[in-house]
Amino acid sequence: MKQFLHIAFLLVVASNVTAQRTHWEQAVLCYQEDSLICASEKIDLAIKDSNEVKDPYTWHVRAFIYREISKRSSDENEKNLARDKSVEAFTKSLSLDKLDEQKLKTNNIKGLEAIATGLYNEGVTWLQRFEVEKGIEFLEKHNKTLRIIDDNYFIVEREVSIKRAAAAILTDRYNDDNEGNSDAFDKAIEYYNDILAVDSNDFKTNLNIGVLYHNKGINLLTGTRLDLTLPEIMQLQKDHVFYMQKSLQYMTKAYQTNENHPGVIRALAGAYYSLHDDEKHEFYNQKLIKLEGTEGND
Amino acid sequence: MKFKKFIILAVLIIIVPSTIVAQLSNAKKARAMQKAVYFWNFAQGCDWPDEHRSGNFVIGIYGDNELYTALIKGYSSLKRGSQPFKIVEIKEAGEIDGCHMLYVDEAKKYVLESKRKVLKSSATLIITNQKGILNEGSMINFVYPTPLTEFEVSKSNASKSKLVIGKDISSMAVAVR
Repeated sequence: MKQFLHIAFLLVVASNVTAQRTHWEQAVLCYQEDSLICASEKIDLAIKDSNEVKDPYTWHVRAFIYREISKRSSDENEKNLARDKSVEAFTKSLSLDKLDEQKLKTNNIKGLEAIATGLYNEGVTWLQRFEVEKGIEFLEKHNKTLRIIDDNYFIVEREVSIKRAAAAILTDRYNDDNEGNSDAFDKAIEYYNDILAVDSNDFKTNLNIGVLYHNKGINLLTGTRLDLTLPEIMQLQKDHVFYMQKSLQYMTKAYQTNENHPGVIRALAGAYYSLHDDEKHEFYNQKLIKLEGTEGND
Repeated sequence: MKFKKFIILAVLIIIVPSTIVAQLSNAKKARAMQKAVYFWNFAQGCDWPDEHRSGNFVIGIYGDNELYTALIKGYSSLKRGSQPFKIVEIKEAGEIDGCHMLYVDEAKKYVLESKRKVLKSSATLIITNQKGILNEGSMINFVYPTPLTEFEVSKSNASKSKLVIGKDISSMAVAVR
């Protein structure tokens, strides 16, 4: 920011001192005096001016002023609003800059990249506080910001690490209270599926999603009332079978990746037991006994 | 204007307190709960002779500890009409006397032959879990033609013990004799 100000200040000084300064020039001077309020007022006037609004430099200066406001603000709403204005201004500057020599392009891009990194880091911070919705919101903002520069922006590692953490937190939330937090189950499945869309063979994800479906199927029955009618228990069983078959779909994939993982084999044995497929249940149970010396009860 | 500092990406380390696993024992508990719900319906939907409609309503479980545990947990405060449920885990064939309902697991099916007379005279609804066992005196038998737990009934076996299997039950059975 200091170097930006230095160049901007030189530009202001080099301009005809006797002529009336533009709003953006006044904004730079305000900033030089460390008055962000004054700088924002002047730069807001600049974009209302019919001449200045067409100048990529106006938007460039505005982007940096609002980025600084965002960085210094302790109020979350104000911080977000200023950051949005900064992103908008960088974008506008980039689009106006296309017609001439694109002198501002490199710094506009770096400005957007810096904001995007800040957004990702903020998403990480939210997730570390187990605030899943906020974590995902900031990942999406991060992606949106970088797609201004590159339409096809997508970094697998960043996407997967955020979604995996979010799904793990949601799974834990669901396990804590599987009736009260049923929406956490759906969201965890959604994020795990997002990871599988990138890599369908991801072992941990196939295992985790398989266990989620498995336990959902089990919970339906173990948590049931005993005084259900026969049609009600038949319907509950159909739902149970649905979840067990879904579990098998993912567990089988996990098994193809690692045939000796006790968690996978235990889940397969349990699912086939639930589906009354005695032959396959026995196959996986025997395999588990060979691996661990015990069947999958513990 | 150039950026001199590097942009540092935060590293995400989330420690979730509990790990998730699937347990075979839970699958066994789930199946036991299914059967426990069926037992509730069998108890409500069958008729016993008048002399068996007072005192405790006794359900004996022979050879299935998971089912016994599920019934003990779920039925301890429930009643069939005015009869409180009493759940008994049968350890030996000699203990089967006096049950309103008796579940006999596959491994213990010999009791149907060895205790045939006792069972018939005590109006015991015999419930089993083995293919083809209606021919051996069972009255309600769990079967698995699909991934669902279903059941078949033998009204004729029931009537020999002066028991009546109601319409609500027989209409849901996969086979009725």
